[in-house]
Amino acid sequence: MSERLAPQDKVPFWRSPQGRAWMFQLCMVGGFLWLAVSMYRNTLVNLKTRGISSGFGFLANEAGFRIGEVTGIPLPQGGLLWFLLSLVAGLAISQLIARQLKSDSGTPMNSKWLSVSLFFSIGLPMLTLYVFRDSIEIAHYTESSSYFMALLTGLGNTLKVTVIGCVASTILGLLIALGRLSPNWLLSNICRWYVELNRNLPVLLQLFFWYFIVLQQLPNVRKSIDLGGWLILNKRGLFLPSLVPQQGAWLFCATIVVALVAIWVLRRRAIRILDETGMPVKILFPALGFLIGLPALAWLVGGQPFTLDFPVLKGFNFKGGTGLTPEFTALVVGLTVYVSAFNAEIIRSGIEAVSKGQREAARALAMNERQVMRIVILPQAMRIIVPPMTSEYLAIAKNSSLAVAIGYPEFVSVGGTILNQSGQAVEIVGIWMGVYLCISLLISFGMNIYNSKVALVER
Amino acid sequence: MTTAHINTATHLGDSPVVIDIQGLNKWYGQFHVLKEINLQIRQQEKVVICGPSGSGKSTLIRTINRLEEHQEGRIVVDDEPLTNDVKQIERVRREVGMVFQQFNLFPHMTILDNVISGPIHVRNMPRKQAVDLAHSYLKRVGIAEQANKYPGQLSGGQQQRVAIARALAMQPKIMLFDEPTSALDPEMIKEVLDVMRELAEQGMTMICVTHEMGFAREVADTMVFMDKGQIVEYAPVKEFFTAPKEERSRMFLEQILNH
Ligand SMILES: Nc1ncnc2c1ncn2[C@@H]1O[C@H](COP(=O)(O)OP(=O)(O)O)[C@@H](O)[C@H]1O
Ligand SMILES: [Mg+2]
Repeated sequence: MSERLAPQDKVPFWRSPQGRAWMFQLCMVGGFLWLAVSMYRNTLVNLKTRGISSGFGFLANEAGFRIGEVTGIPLPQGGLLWFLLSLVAGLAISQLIARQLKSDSGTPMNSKWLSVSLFFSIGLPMLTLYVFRDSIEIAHYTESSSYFMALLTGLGNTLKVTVIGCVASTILGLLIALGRLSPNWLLSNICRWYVELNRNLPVLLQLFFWYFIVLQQLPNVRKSIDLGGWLILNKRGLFLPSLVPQQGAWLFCATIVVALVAIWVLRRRAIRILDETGMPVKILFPALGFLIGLPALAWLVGGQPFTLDFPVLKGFNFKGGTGLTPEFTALVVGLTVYVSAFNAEIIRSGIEAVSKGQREAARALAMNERQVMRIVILPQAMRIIVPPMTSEYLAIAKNSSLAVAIGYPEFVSVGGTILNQSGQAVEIVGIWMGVYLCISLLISFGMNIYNSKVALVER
Repeated sequence: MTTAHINTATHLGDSPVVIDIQGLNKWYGQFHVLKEINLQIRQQEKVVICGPSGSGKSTLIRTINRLEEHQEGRIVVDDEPLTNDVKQIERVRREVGMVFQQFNLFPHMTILDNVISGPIHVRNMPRKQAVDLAHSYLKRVGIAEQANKYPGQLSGGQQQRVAIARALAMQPKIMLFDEPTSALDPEMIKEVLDVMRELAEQGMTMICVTHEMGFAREVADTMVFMDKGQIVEYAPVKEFFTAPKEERSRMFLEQILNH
């Protein structure tokens, strides 16, 4: 007979797993704190001996340098604040409604409640935007703006590249993955080579390739490809006419939103009718009617919503209009192509990891190949795909800083210029790291929410 | 080979032939898996296919709903010849339900969603009607209470019964079973065989690959014994168990019954 052992009280804490974990953590935190404190003191001493002032006051100073690509920054005042507030409030209210309904009756909301929550989540912010339309200011950086404005502009450019890169590389990656899985020998091999080539060349080289080789093939400014002023293409970029909003622009845009909402409601109705009666309802023509008819009506009532501003040749370059700079194009194309190769592999292996039996069971139920993919394979593959895909999105955000090499004015490149001018190395590096950390954490946070949604489905 | 012998159940009178396989040959690369298969199956007939592992039983029944392509010969299911035509294949699959050894339920869907997936997406049935139908089949296989659980929360026997309900919800004319009890613990085999027995009594046309000889003796009209890709013996069930004609089937029976 062995005596009974109570697991907790006999073992000294330094030999229990929890005790050990705690001690280890404490040592780590202690060591880290010591490192941080000594670095901080060291830095202060160094700065003092070199006579450099510390602090973030310099951010208010005039920047004085040019930024080649300026993204508008909405100023955080009046209108914008109300808009953001109403956006958050609207989403929160509609979430609350949904939860309340679900806990009350256990069923998802019906169409009456849906329109109520739709009003709060979309209508309310749109309304605020409309009411405060005159107090929303979008600032554009100029040479006389502050360092702070310069950093914001750089950050805006970084975010622009990151968002476009993530979306485009996902879509392209999915297409390449499906191509690789296709039974067509030629297609699948082309996709394989695409993946191998892009995966195995450094991303910096690829940026150089797009910027210095591909885009340099374009003609000079004087010999631009010019489609009657509507589209101008040359070494300096792609130029298109821009839309200048007039009196009726708000009404026009609002009717487009209303039309989209109406189409969405139509679609839901069609799905409901299909569910209840098995009758498919065609909504293409009513949808087109809404999408064309409503804005056309707004045009008649409110007058021409936009005028066009055509780019014109002034001096050595085109002025006015809108367009894409070669730096931006090279960066977005380079990052997208590079990351899409990785995404394709992630998606392909996710799809292949779903067992063969699943595909066979779906086929045996007479589903067609598209249904097999959409209903059975992809939802299961998602769970395998999402975590590694998060790393790829993070890679886009971080690799966008390679733009320094081709002169696209994103966050790191602008920060570098400021660092050179002001000498505030510690502050700039601190801002760099802080901001990238925030972007990365935001991406991870978003993907984790998505992941828990797809993962929870199983149990 | 002008008058190939067609295996057909003359002992069932003249009920119509729903599956007609003639001169079927199939290769995996160099490997000849199915050799000159001739087989006719009539409406409401219950066929049990047995034979040693690797003899081509699974491959044969998987050619019937075109999960495997064949290279030579003619397969006609419910008056629909199986060709490369996708529409034709889908029409055949709508009439042919299949139950797999590994259940193959969709793990990301509830039991109910598994069962309604066919009727809704393939038959375009209204959701409400599909749910009612699913509940009635789940009740028939004895899983009515588990409709909102996920497959991972059920035992193997329960999962296989759900798989049968899922196939039945498509209201097929023919059911294929590929070793439906081979992956089950012994105490769960009976619950699945009971469901299949009941299905047989209701007049379903069934083709089962199984080694459950008790079940075969009780339910089957016709026995097919396969070895090395060929149909070695085709016989009415009584004849097969009392007086097998072929040496190989006799040996196989001895092995499996004395085991
Ligand atoms: N996809 C495949 N590729 C190559 N050979 C296969 C494939 N599937 C099955 N086989 C071979 O075909 C033979 C018959 O397989 P199968 O029909 O599964 O036999 P059974 O179900 O009678 O055990 C086996 O020898 C097996 O190894
Ligand atoms: Mg088998």
